[in-house]
Amino acid sequence: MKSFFLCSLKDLKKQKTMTKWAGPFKDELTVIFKDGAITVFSSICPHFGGEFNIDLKNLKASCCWHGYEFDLSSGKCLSFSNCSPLRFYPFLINHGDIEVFFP
Amino acid sequence: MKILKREFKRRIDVHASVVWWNYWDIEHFTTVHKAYTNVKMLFENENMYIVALTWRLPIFSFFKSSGICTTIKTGKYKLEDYQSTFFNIAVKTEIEIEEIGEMSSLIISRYQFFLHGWRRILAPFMYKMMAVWNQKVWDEDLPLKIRRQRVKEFGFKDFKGLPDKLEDRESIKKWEQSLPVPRPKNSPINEYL
Repeated sequence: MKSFFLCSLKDLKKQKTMTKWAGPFKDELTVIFKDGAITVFSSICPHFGGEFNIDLKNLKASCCWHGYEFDLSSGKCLSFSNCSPLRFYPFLINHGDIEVFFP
Repeated sequence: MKILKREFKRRIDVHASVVWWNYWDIEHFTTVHKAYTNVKMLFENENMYIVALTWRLPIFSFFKSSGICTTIKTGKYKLEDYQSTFFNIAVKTEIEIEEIGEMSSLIISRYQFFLHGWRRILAPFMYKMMAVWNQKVWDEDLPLKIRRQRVKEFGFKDFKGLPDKLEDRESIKKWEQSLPVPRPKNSPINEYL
């Protein structure tokens, strides 16, 4: 199973959200930290491939290109039912580093 | 009557179909481009679309203008666009995308303003304004085209996203963009349809 160092937990706690291109996964990953919980997901909008604005307060991601909204708890597209949901990635915290795995 | 002409050439390292998609993807007009404040589709098929548009002028952004814009496919990667802008000035735009190698494109934009009567005095302003407009739109669209090229190289499919398996994340084989660019039925753009 391929793993990828995304960021340190210390940095994430400070920044709350971080986005990074994950070369080995051929994907762009975003990690969010809210109320002690960490979520890692692909931040390539399944609609046309756009990037997201993250609304941590309401746990939503909205595409900068077309405004499609996604629920960050379920991954579901809130704007249109025929769009695939966001892809979540499993991760481990290893010595303070967030390591993401390709499922 | 005076015809004011301007031409811009720009090169980008993305497939011509990605540039083509950008011209026909109506949904991004109001979210990506600050100048467009409203867009509604009136008619579309695989060769053309007609939209009702509202936009702000570059330089004098407090000035809003509304009109109908008709865009017609005239070749594989060629289109013509007809609209009337403020003071009822008719504008014709031609876009031509030349494929340079496999993943590089040259975009030629030709604008023609038909200035009748007193509108001739606007020529120097229009000349400058078009350069500002073209640069602004180019700057706003550039990251979209680069990113879309990148995700397509990893097998991205519209409305689906990246392939599930890592080994399937390879460049798409078919780069052609079919028209019209698909849009959900309940898109706000469809309000007038």
